[in-house]
Amino acid sequence: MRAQFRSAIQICQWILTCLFLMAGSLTVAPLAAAYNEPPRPWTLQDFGCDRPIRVGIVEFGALYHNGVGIDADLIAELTRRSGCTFEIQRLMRVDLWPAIEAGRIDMATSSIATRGREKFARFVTYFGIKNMLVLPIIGSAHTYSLDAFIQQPHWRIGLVKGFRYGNDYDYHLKSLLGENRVVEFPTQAILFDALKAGTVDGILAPSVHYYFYLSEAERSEKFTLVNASAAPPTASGLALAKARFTAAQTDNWMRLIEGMRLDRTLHRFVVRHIGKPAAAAFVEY
Amino acid sequence: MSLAMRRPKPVFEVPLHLIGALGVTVLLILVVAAFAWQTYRGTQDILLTTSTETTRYIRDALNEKIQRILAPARNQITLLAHSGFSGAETLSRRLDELPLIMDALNENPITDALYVGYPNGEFILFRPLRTEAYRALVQAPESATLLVQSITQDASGVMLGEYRYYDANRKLLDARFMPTYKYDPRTRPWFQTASKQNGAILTEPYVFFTTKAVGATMAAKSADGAVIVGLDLTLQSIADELKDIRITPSSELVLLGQSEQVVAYRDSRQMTALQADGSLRLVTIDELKVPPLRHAAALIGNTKTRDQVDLGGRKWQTTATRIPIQGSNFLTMLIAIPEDELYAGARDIVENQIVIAFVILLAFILLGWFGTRLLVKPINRLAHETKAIAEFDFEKDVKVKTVISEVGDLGRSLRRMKKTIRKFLDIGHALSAERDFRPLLNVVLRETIELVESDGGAIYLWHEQEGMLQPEIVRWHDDEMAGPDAHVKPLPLHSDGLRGEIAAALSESRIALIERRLDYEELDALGLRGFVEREDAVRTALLVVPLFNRKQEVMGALILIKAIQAGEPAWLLSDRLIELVRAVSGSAGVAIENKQLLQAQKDLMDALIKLIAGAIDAKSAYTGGHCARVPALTRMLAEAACEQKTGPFTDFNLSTEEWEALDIGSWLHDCGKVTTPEYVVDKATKLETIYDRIHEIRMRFEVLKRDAEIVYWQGRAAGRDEPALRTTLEQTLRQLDDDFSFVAMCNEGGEFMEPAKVARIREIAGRTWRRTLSNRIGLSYEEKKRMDRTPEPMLPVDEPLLADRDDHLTHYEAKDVIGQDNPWGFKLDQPRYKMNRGEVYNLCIGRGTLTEEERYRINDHISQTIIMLQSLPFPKHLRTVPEIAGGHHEKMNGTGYPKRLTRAEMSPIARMMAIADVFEALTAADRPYKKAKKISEAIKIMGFMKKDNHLDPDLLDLFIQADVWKRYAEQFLDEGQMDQPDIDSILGIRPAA
Repeated sequence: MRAQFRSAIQICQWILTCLFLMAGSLTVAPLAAAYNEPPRPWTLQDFGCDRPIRVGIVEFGALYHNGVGIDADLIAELTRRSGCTFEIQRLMRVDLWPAIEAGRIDMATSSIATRGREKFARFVTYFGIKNMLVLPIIGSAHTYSLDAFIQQPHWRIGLVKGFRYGNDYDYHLKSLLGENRVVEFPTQAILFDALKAGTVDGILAPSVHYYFYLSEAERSEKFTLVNASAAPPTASGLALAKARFTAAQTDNWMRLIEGMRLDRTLHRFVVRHIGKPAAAAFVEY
Repeated sequence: MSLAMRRPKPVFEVPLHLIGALGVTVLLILVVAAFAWQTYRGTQDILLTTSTETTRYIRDALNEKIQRILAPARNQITLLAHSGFSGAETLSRRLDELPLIMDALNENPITDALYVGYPNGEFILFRPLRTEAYRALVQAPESATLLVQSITQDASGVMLGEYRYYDANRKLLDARFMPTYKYDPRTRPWFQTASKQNGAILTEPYVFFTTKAVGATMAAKSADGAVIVGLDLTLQSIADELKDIRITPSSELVLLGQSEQVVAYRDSRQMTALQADGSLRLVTIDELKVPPLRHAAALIGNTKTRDQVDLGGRKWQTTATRIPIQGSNFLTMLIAIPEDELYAGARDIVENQIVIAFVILLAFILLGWFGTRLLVKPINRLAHETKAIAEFDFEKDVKVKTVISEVGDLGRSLRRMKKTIRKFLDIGHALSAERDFRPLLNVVLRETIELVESDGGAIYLWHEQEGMLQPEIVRWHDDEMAGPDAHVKPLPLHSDGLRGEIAAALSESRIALIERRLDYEELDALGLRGFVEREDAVRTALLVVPLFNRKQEVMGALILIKAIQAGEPAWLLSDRLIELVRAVSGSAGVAIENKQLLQAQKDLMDALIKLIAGAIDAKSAYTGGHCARVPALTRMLAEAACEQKTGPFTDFNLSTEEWEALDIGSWLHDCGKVTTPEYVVDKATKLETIYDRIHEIRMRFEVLKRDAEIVYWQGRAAGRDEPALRTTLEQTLRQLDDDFSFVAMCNEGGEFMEPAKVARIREIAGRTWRRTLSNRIGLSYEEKKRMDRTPEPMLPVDEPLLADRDDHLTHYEAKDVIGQDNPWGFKLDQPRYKMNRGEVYNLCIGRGTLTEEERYRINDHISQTIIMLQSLPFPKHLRTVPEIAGGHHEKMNGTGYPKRLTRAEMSPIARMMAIADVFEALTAADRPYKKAKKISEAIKIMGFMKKDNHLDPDLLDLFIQADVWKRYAEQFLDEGQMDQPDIDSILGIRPAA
């Protein structure tokens, strides 16, 4: 049933994409209210969408979960603003980058740039991921910190396999890994399930997931969010395959994202999916 | 040359304390000037060195500042060169460097912009929005802090200009397409230069196009050489630094670039000039229009780094210093400092020194003033005293209070000198001023005693008659021992013992100091024992000083005595003091001799006056004694007046000179009588001339009687009737006898000649007698002359029995006529004739025996007295003698004789003389024409005269009240004249108005 529903949505999206392509072959809609008129009207060529754009989307909590999320809204808004057609392909995170590198995917959401990825992709950031430590609430006397966690020799930490948590955490995780105190899970959802199940004594996860995977009661009574790193949020955004998009086209996608940021569209998407309190930290990274 | 000493021309004189104060002032000013000059020069050098050091410091500071700017800039450029910009082919990727860029910009505020130029013409620039002006220029949103300007190539190859605005949290606030924003980095010098070089390059300073700020661009190739990264460094901070660097308020400082464009100046508005395209460029130093700096610019490239220039009267120190920046880049720092400000510190120091010096100077002047006054005040006093001495003022004593011993010595010496001079002068003054002999001796002795500080002394004078020195005056301490009380004995010239030594010294005409053990016997011989005994002395010392006259003959001795008590040193007299005593004694001797001579002359004059008075008195037995008694009476009255303590004569007093004038005047008051013929003065009968002509008249009567008898006998002879003849004879004789008796009675003048008597005289005079002998022979020349005025009648001639003939009249000679304008002020009614000896005229005199002419002659004695006395050369103090002597016949109502003086016009003494003359005349017993009157009668008559305002009423009252009359009467009048006058009635008389 769910699959059928998704297919119907995909069909609708495809139809819409076609309509947009037809309509946008000459011009696309204005970038945003904050942006003045470009020196010349954009064309689909300016976005490199002479054909449908294959978007790889991975499960990522509030960003994308079961076909719904911020990234889904973003793609829809990009479709609207660029006039381009998107083909959404749901992938496991571990499969995403090889797919882009191999040219099977043109675009991905919620991607973090690395030196290796930049060889075949360009990035347009639209939010910042702040990885934080989620710990079970033990008592008010307990100190909730990474150092305190590490000092407990039998405590294990849970991670998502293939996910980059940032240099600051990497060094700590490296030592925990040597002590066999690191447990890796395939998705964020499984990771939170393991936490709830007590399989691990704590997890590292983007703060946005804390709000997504835990109910309000769990957040207030069972699990606490600890900012265990001084590192800034990690820029995360669209990854655009160099094979499909030129640098100039990438910059145009960036201008669209900037337009959404400036007219607070992006902000509305975030609020819609994770609530107002977490929204600021998410977008205004 | 005149006797008066020519006064030396006064030279410019300044008080000592002024010289002291001036000296201190000048000295201090010189010292201060020297120190001030030295300090000024030293400080000038220090300030010059300091300015050089300051210049060096500024250079180093600027250099350090520039390096502080450049060092982080170089780091930034290095970081940029290694940043992701090189590989950032998309704008998105370039914007991802925003955190790095923002941190870099925040860390280095002098970085005006960071940018990256790409070989394809793309460009991205990050510029912090630091100024409101710039924010307005780029229309930045309110909270924007960063502007990102980008040039990117769009899909169609067109360069797309965009502006993006971020806030401090890197939140994108706005993004704008900027079609007008065109920029190709490849055309820029920084891009081109950096492309050709390895490492960072720094451009010349210039005005930034966008911000209009002055700065320079540092640029470098990226690490991989793909892009050129650059950053704009604003040099405003250097300009700001320059603003704070003001060596002096007016000093000027500028930084020049290598092209001599102004890179930094305190007034940044002057640094730029508008170019034709609307952009700004940096002005050159010549365009800056700051002459001192322009002059300093001349030092660029010169070996000299420092110079001095005079601009508009103001001197400037200029320096040019090179500041290396990077590589061959350098800046030039020009500094111009006005010397007046540069050296202001030195001047301030000097001024402060001068102020301090002035305060010290003031203190010194005051100290000097008071110090020198300490010296000068007593000196001034001494100078005043010396001046006073020079002006012969010895009244004040020299009292000098000083702590300076030399001045004290001077004061004491001056005091001694003054005392000595004063003594000497006092003695000299006394010698010259003392009118009386004895006081003169007293003064000489007293002063000499004080001079030698002896206990006492005595003056002896040589008495020729006694043949010894008689003590004239003796003094012991401050007292004069007068007369017998002194008990000082005469000093014979030949004696033994102490007296012999004194006599020997005198005979040898030498001053001798004789000191010996107390010997009462010897002192007794001198009569000095009594004095010395009082002193409880053990020794006596005598200074024997001979007194010489002009002929250097010893005329006396001055003996000074000192009683020396036990333990007292010998009486030491210095040679100079003895010389002084010798000088004093010499002067005293001369003065004493002078006084003696003067006294002798005065005595002689007195004797002469009295001789004259006596001669006058002796001339007429009837007036004998008048001239001697009147002076006595006048003196009595004057003494009474002097004694008055109340009344009109309270203030009346007479000096010695006036007494002398009174005496002489009164003694000579009748001296004119020597000119009055005795036969007039003594004329006792009317017909008396040299002899009484009654005898001649009687002879005529006798002749007539003989004639009658002859007629009788001739009648008898002629046979006429004898009885008739006898009767006629007897009648004639009887008539003649009667007539003669009548004439003789008239001649006596005892009775008033009433008209009947005069008629009978004239009747008798009508009788004639026959003269047969010539009356023109056997005569004196004068009489013959008078007789010859009429022709001699033929003899015999019948002549009146009593005749008033022409030859009886004596006319005045011209010299005898006293007119109204006479020089003596006489107001006389001179009779027509000098003498009228007419027999009838004389016999008909109404009262008395004197004719008008004779009375005039008698009164004339006063005129003659005045004329005679005024002709005498009286000394000044005796000039009043003629007035005193000549006024005794004047009356207070102005009807007197000879000048008709009123009371107010007469001196008191002259009025006293009038009273004395009247009283003496009334009471004199020797008047030929009357009996001496009793006192009461005389005073009564004088009372009438008081009433008639003839005598001075006040003096007459004094005469009566003070019993002057009584003292006079007791001395001069006979017992028979003595009675008690009615004093009250006389005093009660009021003079007629």
